Amino acid sequence: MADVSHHVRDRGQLLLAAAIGLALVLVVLAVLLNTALYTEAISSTSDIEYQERAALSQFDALDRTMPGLLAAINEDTDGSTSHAELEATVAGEVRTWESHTSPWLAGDGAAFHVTVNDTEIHDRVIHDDQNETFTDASETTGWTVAENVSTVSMFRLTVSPTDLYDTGDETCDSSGPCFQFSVEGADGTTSWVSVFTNNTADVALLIEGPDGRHHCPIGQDQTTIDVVNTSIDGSHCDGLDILGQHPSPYTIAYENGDRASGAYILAIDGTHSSSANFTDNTSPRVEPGVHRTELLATYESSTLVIERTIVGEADQ
Amino acid sequence: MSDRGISAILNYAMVLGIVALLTAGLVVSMAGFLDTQGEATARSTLEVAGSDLAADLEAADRLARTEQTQTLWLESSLPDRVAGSDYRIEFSDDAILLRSSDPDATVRIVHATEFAVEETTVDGGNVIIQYDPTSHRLVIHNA
Repeated sequence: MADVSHHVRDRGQLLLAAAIGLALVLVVLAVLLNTALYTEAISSTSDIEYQERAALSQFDALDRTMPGLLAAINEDTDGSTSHAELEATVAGEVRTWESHTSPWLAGDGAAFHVTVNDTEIHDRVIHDDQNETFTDASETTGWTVAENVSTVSMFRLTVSPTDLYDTGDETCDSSGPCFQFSVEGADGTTSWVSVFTNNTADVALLIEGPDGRHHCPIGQDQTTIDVVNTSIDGSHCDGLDILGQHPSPYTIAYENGDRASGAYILAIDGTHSSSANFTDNTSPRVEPGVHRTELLATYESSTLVIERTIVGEADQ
Repeated sequence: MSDRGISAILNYAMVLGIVALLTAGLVVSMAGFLDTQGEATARSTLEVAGSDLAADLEAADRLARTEQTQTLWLESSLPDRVAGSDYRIEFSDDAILLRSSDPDATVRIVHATEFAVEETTVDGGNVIIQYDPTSHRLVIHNA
């Protein structure tokens, strides 16, 4: 007769071991599940910071590109370029810039779009022939350069002592023989700036306006007079704020243009004087130039959309 | 000879009883531990989600701060559930309160935004943060 008692005892032990094993497996599973949940919890899923950096770098790149881009467009402009052609050129160059950034962003599942909202074009009166005096095309010494000017975005003259009328030890005012430029406001008030040299050593500036006379610091070599920024060779000159002292629209005129040579550029939102005063391609001439462009730039990804207005002004 | 008086049925019953007692003992002893772990997990998940959300909220604030910004839309990716439970997110001007019901856990994350944050409560899960240029506020709603 077979002994079954040992088999029964073994089976019981097996069941016991299996039950304990199963319980342990359940506990391990619970712990593992908890660990998995915890791991999921502590892993951050946000990539906004990366996208923020990508978007800001794009906006920043566009912001930094525009002054140079507009200056380059202005460089390629001549008197035959119309305002419409210039606007189209700006739009085209912006599209080209946009297309260069697209492949780089596409890899990140993002896109960057730029559209031109507005382009402000100013006429620029340019005199860049250092050997020519500041007369008009027909050598007229006193002439109106621009009128009905609502905004002057740039008015800069660069002269050397040898380019100017030498008064000896005397000064020169608006009734004197030296070169002057004037700004007349809508109310009929006028400011004059006389530019001359003393003993061919210094460039001297005498400003006469509604608030009296001013002398500004004087340059000894080539001097840049920046009327819009009211500075001479980068140093501020209070009296030079002649545009701020008169209501627009302005009339800007030259007197004794034959008593100065060098270079100047005047960019205006207004009407330059008769075309007869200007040459086609030499000095002085009139060319359109982009003054300011307003762009709407959009960075777009699945989790971040930013629209910004970027205003670009041409490098001067 | 010692087990002669015990029938096979009783032997099985005793084995099953012992197994049941062991299993019940394990479940009872681990239940508290698992509950604690569940709450800790929920709290940790809410902390991470809240920190992510606060970071995204502050990023939106930074991006909207410049006058150049016309439109700002940001989707913050958050878990739909924490430790198997739904949760709610309350926004106030200086903090985010995340609250799950089962397990019961509440976490408060402070944020530092310059723009005011609209006071609102949304369900857990992805949320949209938008800048309202009219009221100069950050507005939040569910994705």
